[in-house]
Formats: sequence, C-alpha cells, structure tokens
Amino acid sequence: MQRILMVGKPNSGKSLLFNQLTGLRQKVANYPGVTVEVKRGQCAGFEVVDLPGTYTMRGLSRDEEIAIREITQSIERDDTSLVVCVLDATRLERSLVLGLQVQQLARENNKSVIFALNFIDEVRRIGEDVDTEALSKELGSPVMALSARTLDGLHEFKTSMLEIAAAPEEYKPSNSIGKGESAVHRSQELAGKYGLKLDVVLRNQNSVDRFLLNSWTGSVVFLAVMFVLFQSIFTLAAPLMDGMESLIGSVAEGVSAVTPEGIVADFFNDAIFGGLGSFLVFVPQIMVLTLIIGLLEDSGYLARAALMCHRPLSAVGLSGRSFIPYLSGHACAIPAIMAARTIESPHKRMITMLTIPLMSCSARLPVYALLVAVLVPEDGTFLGIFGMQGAAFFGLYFFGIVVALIVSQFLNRFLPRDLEESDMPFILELPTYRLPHWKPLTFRVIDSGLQFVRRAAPIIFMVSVGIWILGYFPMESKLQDSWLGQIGHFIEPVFAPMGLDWRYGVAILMSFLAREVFVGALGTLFGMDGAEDDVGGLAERIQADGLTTGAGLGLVLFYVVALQCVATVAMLKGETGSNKLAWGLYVAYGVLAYLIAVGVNFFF
Amino acid sequence: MTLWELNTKQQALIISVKSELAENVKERLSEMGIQVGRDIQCVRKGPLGGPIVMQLGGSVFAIEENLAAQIEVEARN
Repeated sequence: MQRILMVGKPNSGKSLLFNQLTGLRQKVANYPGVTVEVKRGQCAGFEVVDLPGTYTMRGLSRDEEIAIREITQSIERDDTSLVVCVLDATRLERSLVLGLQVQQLARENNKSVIFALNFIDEVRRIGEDVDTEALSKELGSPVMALSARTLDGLHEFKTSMLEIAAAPEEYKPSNSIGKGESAVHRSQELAGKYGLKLDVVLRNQNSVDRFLLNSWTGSVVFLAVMFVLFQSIFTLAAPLMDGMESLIGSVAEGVSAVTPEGIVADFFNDAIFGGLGSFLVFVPQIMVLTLIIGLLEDSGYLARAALMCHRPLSAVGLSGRSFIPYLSGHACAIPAIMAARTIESPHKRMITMLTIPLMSCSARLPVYALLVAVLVPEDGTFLGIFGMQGAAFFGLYFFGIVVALIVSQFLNRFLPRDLEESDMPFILELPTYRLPHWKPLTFRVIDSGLQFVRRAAPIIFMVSVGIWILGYFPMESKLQDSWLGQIGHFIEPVFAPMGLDWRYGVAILMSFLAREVFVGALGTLFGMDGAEDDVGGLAERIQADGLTTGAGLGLVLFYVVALQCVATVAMLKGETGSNKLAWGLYVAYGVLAYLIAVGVNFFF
Repeated sequence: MTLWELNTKQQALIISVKSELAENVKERLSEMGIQVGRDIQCVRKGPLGGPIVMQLGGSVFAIEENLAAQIEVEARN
C-alpha cells in the first residue's frame, strides 16, 4: 500500500487532522505518551502515517532526534507517495521552518508535497485570511487552508490530497530552499507577507498567562490542578474500578460453574482470576490519568505547568520538562521514562529517568489501599474535611515525590556528567490555549489501557501461576509445609528486622517481579482466596493477626521506594543503554526501601 | 543589556548572540527567530524567578537565565 506521511510541529493540530482523515481504525506504534509515537491509519486505499512532531530537522533533544530520523527514513522510502506538511496558520513563521526543510528533503527524494494550513478558523475569526494561491506559487507546492476542528476546507483538502497521492509525479515541488540554505530567512519572509498582521491570538494568550504564570496566582492554580488530578484518580476511577471488579467476578463465577471442583477449578480461581483479575482492576485508573494528562496537554496548560516548575526543579538538578514525565509516572513508569526524551539536557534526562520509578504508579495502589485500610481508621478525618485514608494516600504520593527530589539532588552531585552536553538550555514554546478535541483524546485513552494490559499481563500471569504452583504442591499439604512455605521460612530472617513474618516475606519476594502481586500473594497466604476482590476483608484479617504500626508503616513506605517492576528495568536498560545501571538501580532502591522499613519499624 | 534584564512588556532589538554558546544551540535560537536586528518583546518575567517569557516572530517562548543572559539586546523604550 502506498503511504501518505504527515509531518508538522508540535501543537499544529496534526493529530486531529490525522484522526479526521483516517477515522476509527488506527494503530499506534510505540508507547502512548508525550511526543513519542508513530500512528498509522488508512484513508481511501492509502496508509496515512502520523510522524512525531518536531520544530526543526536539526534537533537538540532525544525525542527530536528520533522524530527527525523517523521523518527522514520515511521520506526516503519508495512506497511513500506524498508528504503532508501541517502548518499552524496562526504561527506561520515557526511552522514554515520545518515545512521548508521537509519540502527540501522531499524534493531531493523526488516526493511530492502538500501543505495543510491548519487553524484557518482562528485566522478568519479575527477577520484575516491567508492568500493560499499566492503562497502556493511561492512555495512551489500546493497549500490548502483548512480547520481540522470546524471541518472548514477539510473535504476539499482530502480530495486534493488523494488526487495528488494517486498521481504524485505531476505534483513534485517546483521550488524549494537550496541544499544547506537556511529555512529561517525564507520562513520569515513568507510569514511577513502571508502571516497574521495582528497579534490578537497572542494577546489573548498572554493575558491568560498573566494570571496562570504569575508567581502567586499561577502557583495556586498549579496546586489546585494537581489536587484535582490526584483526587479524580480516585473519585472518577472508583466506579469504573468497581464495575471492572464485578465484571471479573461474574466471569469467574461463570467459569467456576462449568469447571468441576478440584485442581482445575482451584487453578482458575486462585491463579487466573485472583492473580490476573486483580491487576485488570487498575486499567480504568490508568485510563483516567491518561485522560486528564491529555486534557491538560491539548489545552496548552501542561507547557505552563512545566514552566512553573522549572525553577523549583532546577534546584535539585532537574528541568521544568521533568515535570511531565514525573506526572505520567503516576500512571506507569514505562511511558514516563519514554516521555523523558523531551528533556534537552542529557544529564537532566538521566536524573529524571532514574527517579521516575519513585513516583507512585498505579501498580502500587492495591498495596497502598490494603495497608492504609489496615493502619488508618476508616471514619477518621484530617483537618475536619479530608478523610484520613485519603490524606494517607496523599501522604504516600508525597513521600515518593520527596524521596525522588532528594535522590535527584544526590545524583546531580555525584553522577558523572559529560560537560560538553550537560548544559543544554531550557527552551519551551508556549502554545495557544485551545479547547481539547475529543477524538485524539479518546484514542489516546483507549490505547493507554490496551498498552498497559499488553505489557504487564504476561508477567503477572506467569507470577500468579508460579505462586499458585509453589503454594499448591506438594498436594494435600498445608500452606505452611508447601514449597512456598519452605521458601518462606528460609528467607524469614531477612524480613524479621522489618517486623514481618514469613508470609509477608514471601509476598514481598514475589512482588520483586511486579509489585501488583503483593496483595494477591498475601491474600492466598492468609488463607483467603480471591483476597483482592475484598481488600477490606483481608485488611481485617491482617489487623486481627496483629501487624504492629511500625512494621505496617515501614512496609507501606517500602512499597513507595522499592523498584519492583521488571518491565521498568527493561525500559531503563533500553533508554540508558546500560544493563548495569538499570539493575543497579533495581538493587539500590530495594536496599533503600529495606533500610527505611527497618528504620521505621525500629523507631515506632 | 541582556535579554534576561528586560522588563515586562519592554521591546528590544537583538544586538548579538554571544559566541561561546554551542553551535547547535545557536542554530536553534536562530530557527526560533533570535537573530541580530530583529525585534523581541518580553511578555513577562518568569514565574518564581524562572525562565523569561518572550515573544517574537508570532510565537511565545520561555528561555532560562543562562541562555537569556547570552543574548545582547538594546531596549526600545
């Protein structure tokens, strides 16, 4: 199938245009997240490829390098018929820099180009327009004005695009900047002639920024947004999680109704629904967090939040750009580590990646939920308004962030740095505020859920089956005497300083593969099948069993700090290129978590 | 004076970009429109003493102190 490429700067509305052209079917290569994906869809017999956004073909940061490599390779491919350059009509000069560079590259490779002048509705709203005909002549490739949001000119654009893609030979660029010639002067010249004369759009944006980027009001808004974000992870996701839970419950019932009692039924109940089911419950939460981050990003606020954070984060050796990876690290560390590619400075990027695992990702939630239920009274309130348990959750998130900042400070001091590259500066474009469109957001949210399942399900499945086998055999033995019990007693001395017995030891040991396993493993060990479907029940068991406050607090803080996720280690290895560093971090956070837990148990 | 020293809403002319900056950084600045002889406006001083927000060529950017202090400008008013 012949391909149509879509290229454009970030915030040029490229994703929405892609969605409008390709409809419902699309595939996202790579992980969902900020600026690191290649999307493929179909449009009238052509494959449309949405390439990652970049401002220029000469990149500073890792994500730009990846985008540039991807664009270059795609344009060179023989099955590429057409390159669509998406321009932001309200920011013509800035978007033409990339547009001209891409056009030149396409011309060198004998590929035809069409410019899609997006956001024309915003230009017309202030009573201006762009002379696309004259601009086409000067550029040497057709320019079509359109709005992917209001659908103005979209139909005409699609028709022309398909026409050109079908006969690309006749639409090769008749002009382009020369090899080695700078795109900057030409784009200034063209923007001066055809761009907006009034800066109404920017003036509106700047007056909103006067409020949102003010040291005082901006900080208040920032904290309020973060509060709402974390609050909604619980409140918005809770009903969805309950629904998911009852769905899994009824499937489990259905299956146990048709399987005869015995080893097979036990296997399905404990290993499949107990293990795998407990983790599927957290998919809605990831999707809710992706939705909120997507809303913040598409509205333009995320860039402001990064700017607000730059100074405070600089104090510990991070960049304002570290904020976005940190934020998405609260859903899952894996896309967050990829999002760290946007950080220009390699040194800061490294520190960010190494501290992301300290963000309380959603896999920690079941552990937090269980231990908070054990340690904190349900009806207690904090300052009269916040539930004690909710406040305890915030405390745990906060603890993770504080540890991350301390570790960052430490790494900043002691990590060897490549002086040549260490002080890449912080440059951030502040995009226009826009109402997010539901289409790209919906795809992103659904995709985040699918990716999470695809990535984590195999390992959770294997661990669940493994625990179940070790705990079930030798046949007819008590758990105490099972293989699992024997292992537990062997490792018990290690966990004694934490104030925990062998059952916790086994659960912790198992959770070094994936921390979600902890609750399920503990539930099985406390002699309750399907424990995580009723966390309250397991919590009561643990309370009755007598877990001291010190040991419990130590245990939950252990889970804040420990890097118990093999998938994250694999990701870190891929991004840092160092096996030693990734596994070193795994061990280091494990030891730190252990020391904190032992310390807390000792002092409380 | 340097770009970093501009006051909110002040217009200025770019005089020079210091040469000790790395080549690829200078290139990036040039692609953003930071070139000798162009006008630049400080939109606001950065929040919490952070990066300065400035406007040129129809876009708004934030750049941090160690970079803004390398750009020599002449205030218009």
